[in-house]
Amino acid sequence: MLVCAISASACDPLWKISVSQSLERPLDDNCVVRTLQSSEQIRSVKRNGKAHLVAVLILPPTIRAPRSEQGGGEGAFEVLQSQPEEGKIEFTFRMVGVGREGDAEFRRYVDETLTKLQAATVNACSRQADG
Amino acid sequence: MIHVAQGASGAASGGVSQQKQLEFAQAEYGQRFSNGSTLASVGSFARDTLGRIWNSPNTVVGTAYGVLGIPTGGIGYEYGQLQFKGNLLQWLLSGGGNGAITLGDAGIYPPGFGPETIQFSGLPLGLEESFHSIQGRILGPFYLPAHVAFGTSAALANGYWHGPVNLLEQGPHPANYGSYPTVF
Repeated sequence: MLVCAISASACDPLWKISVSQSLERPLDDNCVVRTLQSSEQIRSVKRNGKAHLVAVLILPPTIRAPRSEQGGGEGAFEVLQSQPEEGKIEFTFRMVGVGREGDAEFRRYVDETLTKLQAATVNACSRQADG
Repeated sequence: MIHVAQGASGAASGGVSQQKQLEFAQAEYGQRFSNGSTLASVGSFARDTLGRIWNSPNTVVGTAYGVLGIPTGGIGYEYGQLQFKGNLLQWLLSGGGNGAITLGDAGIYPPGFGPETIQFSGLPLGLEESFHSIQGRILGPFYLPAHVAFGTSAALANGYWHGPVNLLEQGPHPANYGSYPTVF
């Protein structure tokens, strides 16, 4: 009971918008970085440890970020490649934040944009791996 | 003292270098390396130690919670906090995993998230959570009552616990990308 009360009072709720694809082999990080950087919707992409990239998504003026009074701005998301089982790679784009999640328009925009960016990345970097 | 982790998990986040993180964290807690005198170092050490002692009741609760909750992702030490990762109790109590908590100098994370998780703000979650530890070193045993008071006020005024009135949640978690956290 005490733990529940404590947890409720000091807990930071996390929202996330995540898109994933299962791949047969990992994508080359350099290709992922190049492909994302070539998108007009991406401000920057940086390495953040092994199998972990961080990209910054540009939000259009019509989209209001969570806890923001006005539209526009930027938000970071993670690009992760994990191996949940032998012979499978989980390629994930994940945006995470603390507090109240954004409105439906924000969530839809981020979900659709991350899905498109991921598909373009897989398309470009799978072809490179095959070639 | 805030310890910004070395290595991959605490490395530079989206656009914010590790050195920059360290600088603003130190500055926020009233510690600046620029002085560099022995007296300043002793003062910083004393303030840090006293803060941790004052915060220890919260740390005891946090550590017990972290251990008893079964940290399936292991226990670590980053950003001046004990880190309990993949905590099953936290997963259960936060309604399916989407919630992190700092109690004293202990950070507790559900499976799927950790101190290295990069936030919308571009900062690692562990860095943001460490500012709750600084709150605890200032407020001591009043930390949890203060959270209840501010959270209740925000719930009444803003309609939700982490609303703008809840100063204890606004500072550590910047709303905008590229902004730095503050204690309050």
